[in-house]
Amino acid sequence: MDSDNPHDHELMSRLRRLDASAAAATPAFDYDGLLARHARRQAGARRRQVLARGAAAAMLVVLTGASLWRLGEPSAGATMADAGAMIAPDEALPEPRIVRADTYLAVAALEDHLASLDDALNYARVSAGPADVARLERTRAELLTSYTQLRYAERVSANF
Amino acid sequence: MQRLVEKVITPEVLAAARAGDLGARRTLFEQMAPAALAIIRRLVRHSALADDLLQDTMIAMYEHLEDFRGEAPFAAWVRSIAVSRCLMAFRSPWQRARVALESWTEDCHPALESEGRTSDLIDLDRALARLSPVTRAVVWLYDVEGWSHEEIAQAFQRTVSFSKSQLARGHARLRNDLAAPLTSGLGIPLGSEIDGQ
Repeated sequence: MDSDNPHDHELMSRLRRLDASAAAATPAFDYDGLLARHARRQAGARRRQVLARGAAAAMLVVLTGASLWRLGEPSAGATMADAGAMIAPDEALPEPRIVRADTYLAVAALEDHLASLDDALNYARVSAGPADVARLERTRAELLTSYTQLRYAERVSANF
Repeated sequence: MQRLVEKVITPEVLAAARAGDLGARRTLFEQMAPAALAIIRRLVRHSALADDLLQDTMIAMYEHLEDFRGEAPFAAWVRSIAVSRCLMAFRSPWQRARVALESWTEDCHPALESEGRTSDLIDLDRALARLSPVTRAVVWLYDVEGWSHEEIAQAFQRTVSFSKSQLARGHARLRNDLAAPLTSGLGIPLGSEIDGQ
């Protein structure tokens, strides 16, 4: 013993006397009882294992079912995406708005004039002189300015 | 009582038990079980748990008969199985809870049969019962079973210092308890407050 304490040696000898004085312990079961206890414990362990596997399988089925159910149901993200897809074709259409008839007619008249001037310019560049081409281009520029102002006024009035 | 390590099993019985002979297996049980139960009860002191640990020890003995190489006496090998099962029970939270719960309903610390035991040994037995399970196991394994600090440290998966400190603590506690033999049932020295001790 590591300790040189005489009290430790005395204690050790008393403990050994205690061990020697103990009567033989009698097990609560014999060899057959041991086998029966072991069989019962194994049966219990198997039953718990079956229950655990059953619980795990049930949990797996529930989780799988829940996942499939959620897949079948439109999710929040999918709903927003679908809504976006439904709205997108509408955005491609011209925005409905109320316009004044006289403004619409003035715009149409200017567009017709511009188209006529473009034809005249093409013809003048081929067959007429530079002075005629310059006069037609000044006229076209004035019409284009008027057209731009008219469309601006139309847009401003539509927003009020 | 013959101690576990003093039990001798003949090679013929061992060979027959390994071969599956039921008579030899029964002989092994009858030779080993009482002595194994004695050491288990020394370490555990809870009768129902001790029975369970004896069952575990015997079943492990049968299941690992092929692993016994004969380097040490067979009884010493069985003792190491019994001690390791007890230490596993100490570490198991489930077993600790079971012992704590059942302590309320039954006497879990029966004094081992003591024919012709003197009063000082009865006091020692009671003082031993009041030690914590780990300290009691270290004291018993070192002082009675003759284990070294290295063997105890290995069994507990701790250091040698752990074994030495537990032994010193156990001895101090035992000496303290034995110095005050007049104790109440709770282990509190009677009249210590009155006497100012």
